[in-house]
Amino acid sequence: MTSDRARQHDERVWATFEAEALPHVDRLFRLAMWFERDRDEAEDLVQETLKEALASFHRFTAGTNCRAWLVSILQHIRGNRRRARSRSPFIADPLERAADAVPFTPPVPQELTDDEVLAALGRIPVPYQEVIVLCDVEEFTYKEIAAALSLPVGTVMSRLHRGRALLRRELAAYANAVRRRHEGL
Amino acid sequence: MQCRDVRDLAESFLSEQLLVETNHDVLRHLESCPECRSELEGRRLLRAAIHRAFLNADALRMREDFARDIRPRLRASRPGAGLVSRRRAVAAAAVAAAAAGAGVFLRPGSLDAIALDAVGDHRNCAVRFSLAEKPIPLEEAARRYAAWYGRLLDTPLADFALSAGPVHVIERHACVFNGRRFAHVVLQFQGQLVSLLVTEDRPWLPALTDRQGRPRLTWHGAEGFGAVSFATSGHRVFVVSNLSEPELREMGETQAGPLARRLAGA
Repeated sequence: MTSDRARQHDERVWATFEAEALPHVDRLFRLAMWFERDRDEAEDLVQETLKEALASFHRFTAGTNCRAWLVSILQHIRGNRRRARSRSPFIADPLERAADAVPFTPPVPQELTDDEVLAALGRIPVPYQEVIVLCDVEEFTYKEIAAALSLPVGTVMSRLHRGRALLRRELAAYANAVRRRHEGL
Repeated sequence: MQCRDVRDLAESFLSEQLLVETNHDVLRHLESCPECRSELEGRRLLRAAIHRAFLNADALRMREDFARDIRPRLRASRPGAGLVSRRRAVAAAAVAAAAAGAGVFLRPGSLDAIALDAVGDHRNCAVRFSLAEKPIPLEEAARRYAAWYGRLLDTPLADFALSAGPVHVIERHACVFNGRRFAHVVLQFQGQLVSLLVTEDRPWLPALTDRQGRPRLTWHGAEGFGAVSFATSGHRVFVVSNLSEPELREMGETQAGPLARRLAGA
């Protein structure tokens, strides 16, 4: 009887998890793939994330953003793996100061293909990519981004500001190169 | 509101995260400023371009077999059955073998990167003073990162006693080792340095407790140092030193309850 009840409870948890969490697998995979740049690693990361999420699904607050919760687990696992892989001490990003000094440059996204936008995004430092992707693609609030990346909200905002400045510089550099090519013809 | 203010607030405006009144101020400025309107439109287009590019990219799409298999694999993994890919199992075995070769001795199941970071922090911060990043006061860490750092200002107490003698707190700060940030309380017991280290860990998991509801202690031995650890909801706590296992366990048992309550906000 008790095991029947436990099984029923288990099935209810699974059904809720299936409805709440599994619809986000595609988006979760895209994030993992973007950051890992390796399909096997990304699949492993998503699988581990979902396993952790299922095991602790009782901790998820119904009605809150499930994708943000899953991303916070994914980022945590990613952080642990990265630390385990690289034992080097943390060094503050030297580009932060340079990004402060980036002058205003008008963005030119309408003239660029999707591949070119992603290539420019991929050229800026990963900490900036993280906040931009979580803001623009996942459309998380600053608070959700802060929770997912274990950062203060102020740091999220400053990284967004600097990251966008760097991205615009990349896009402007690309646009200038294209213009020079045309002028040379 | 000046153009400079609008540029500063542009990100929050586009993310709809401004207070209602500030939002109105920005809108009022935009009505009369074509430069700022153009700037914000440019930013909006860039955000939309990233969103579209990311979600359309074929290179980021899941393999069909992975998409198909993940649901039954997760379902089959309940309850408690291992769902570790062959690749990760091989990697874990390699890590365990490398750790054994390097003289790292950890209880089965307790080998993890966080424990190694805690031992590394004790060695490089408390013993050798050779961290890459200068430690900061706990008050500053509480302001910059999370309020819980400030709770270590009064816990553990400046002096407390074990059966073999008193323990003195000689320093409290926040420091970073291998990219992991710790609240670090340096203690002295019988002339030996002891580190009490607290770091954030998996806030979505419940605390590990024994049947009496006390934090469950785990023993680790690594790189010539010993450590006991326990997990609260959202934190891992380590006591690291070259003291004997019974002494470290007693210190862990003495501090586990008060620390768990304090970290929970009591």
